[in-house]
Amino acid sequence: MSSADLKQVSFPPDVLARIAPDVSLERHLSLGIRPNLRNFTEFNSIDIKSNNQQLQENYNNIFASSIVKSGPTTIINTLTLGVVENYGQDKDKYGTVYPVVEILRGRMGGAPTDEEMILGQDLYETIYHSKLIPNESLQVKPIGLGIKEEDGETIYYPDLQEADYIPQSEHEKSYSFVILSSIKVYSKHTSTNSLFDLCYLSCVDALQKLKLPRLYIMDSIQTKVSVKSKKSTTRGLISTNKAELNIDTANKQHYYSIELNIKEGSISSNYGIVKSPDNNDESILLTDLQGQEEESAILSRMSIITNKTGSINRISLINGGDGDISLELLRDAIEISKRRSKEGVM
Amino acid sequence: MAFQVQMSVLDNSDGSAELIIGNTKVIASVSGPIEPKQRQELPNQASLEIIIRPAKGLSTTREKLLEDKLRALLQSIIIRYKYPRQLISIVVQFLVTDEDPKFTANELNAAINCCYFALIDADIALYSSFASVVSCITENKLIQNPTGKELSQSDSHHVVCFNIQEGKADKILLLESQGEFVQEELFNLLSESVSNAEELHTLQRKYLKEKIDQDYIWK
Repeated sequence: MSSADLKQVSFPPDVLARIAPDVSLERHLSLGIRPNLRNFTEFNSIDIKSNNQQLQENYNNIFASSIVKSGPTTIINTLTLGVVENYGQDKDKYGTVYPVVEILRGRMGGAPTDEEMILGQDLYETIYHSKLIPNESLQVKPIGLGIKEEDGETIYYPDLQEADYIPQSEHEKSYSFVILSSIKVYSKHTSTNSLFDLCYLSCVDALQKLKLPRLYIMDSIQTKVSVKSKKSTTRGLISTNKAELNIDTANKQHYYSIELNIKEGSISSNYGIVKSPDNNDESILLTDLQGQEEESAILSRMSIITNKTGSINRISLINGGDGDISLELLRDAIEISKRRSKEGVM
Repeated sequence: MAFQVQMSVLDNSDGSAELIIGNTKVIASVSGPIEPKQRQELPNQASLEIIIRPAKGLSTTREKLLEDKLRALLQSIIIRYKYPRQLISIVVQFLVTDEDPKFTANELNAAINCCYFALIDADIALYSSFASVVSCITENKLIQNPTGKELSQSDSHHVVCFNIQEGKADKILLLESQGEFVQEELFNLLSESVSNAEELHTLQRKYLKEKIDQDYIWK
């Protein structure tokens, strides 16, 4: 008598996590632990280093920076500035940052992925709607006048050196700063939701450290601009009287802190909801999703931003998987977020 | 809230709908189940392709974020295991919008409600009906179905989508809240939105009944 000998196939845990993330998650949860070995409502510890001196000294176009570490995931956020002319009456009361998120995976360049675009746009909208940056604080202070003297260049500001300042040409245009944020993500191990939390944290942290510089124009506005002649193919230089706005990076003592509307303890937290493996009517709330299994097997998610005063800035909830988000669970999640806002992330 | 809808407006798609809700006008088409590209194919369920096009200009990251929210919602409503190795392609084209480009609440709301009709028109299997409502809070006052101007003056704004079973709003499928608000305001808003969503659904049923009546000419 012969019978087919069917051997049970078994996979090592990391392989199972890849091919059947839902099974792997369920088995872990029935043991009472998550695949990333954290408790159900335990957050990953976060390490923040803001205003890295080395970055700011080596690159004088960086005005604030923040490095956030959570497990193996590292985020380096650097803020640079742009200047725009104010046209007409600006109706917007609040500004935002313009983030570019790059998740580095060891490949070269290429177009931004959907995940990067979504993260960047989400940050942009959230910071705008949370009303963190009043437009007034982005207004450029009166512009200085750079004058070439024998011992170099001196810049006179109308508000700082009133006595010495001789208004030669009325510079009537008004300008505003634009905050650009470049976010680089190394060794991404967390879920997209957790990555949003970390990026938001780094933006808020860098913004609080941001110091704005003064701007000036040179007195002798003789700028050479290269133009192409119609008659010949060679490029020639001609002088124009186009004034160029310069950032006064030489006098760091004139830098001033930006006034912000950031409430203390503005922290973003994320949650996932799954059905309990033991009792199908019960749902389990997991915090700070991380790892392959949780990323692909948990579809019911919440992302909440709260602050110390108890108000909420953002809730993004999607009830997608088999775990149901009830109002009780939403209330629980808000409670946890508020507690986290009070206690801090460190 | 009142809306106007016209179904089967596009000849070359499996299902389509044109919806006017508030001051937003949108058209959605559904093609599916169709053959996917190899990289889109999923062995045990249907894959979704969602494309959102703005009323003006080309789509940007703003539309990408909207697509992501819409996909997260629709992938849990469509019975995807019914169409393994197939693709369902949904295109949402905005025609008229009424909000500052920094806001997406009215557009998300219109897109969700329009997709409902387009999916039914395409005979795609759904777990349940769904209806979405948008509201905002201005100085502690709740405004339902705000205009673009009311949105930009608000303290917080919210899009809520409920699934509807037996005419009753059963659970929250999607919630997008932005601004500054407190927990009490939120739960108050959610309970207010339930009746609004149910009201919207009775209108949805009316339009669906009209459509089916017209579909079968032998009635």
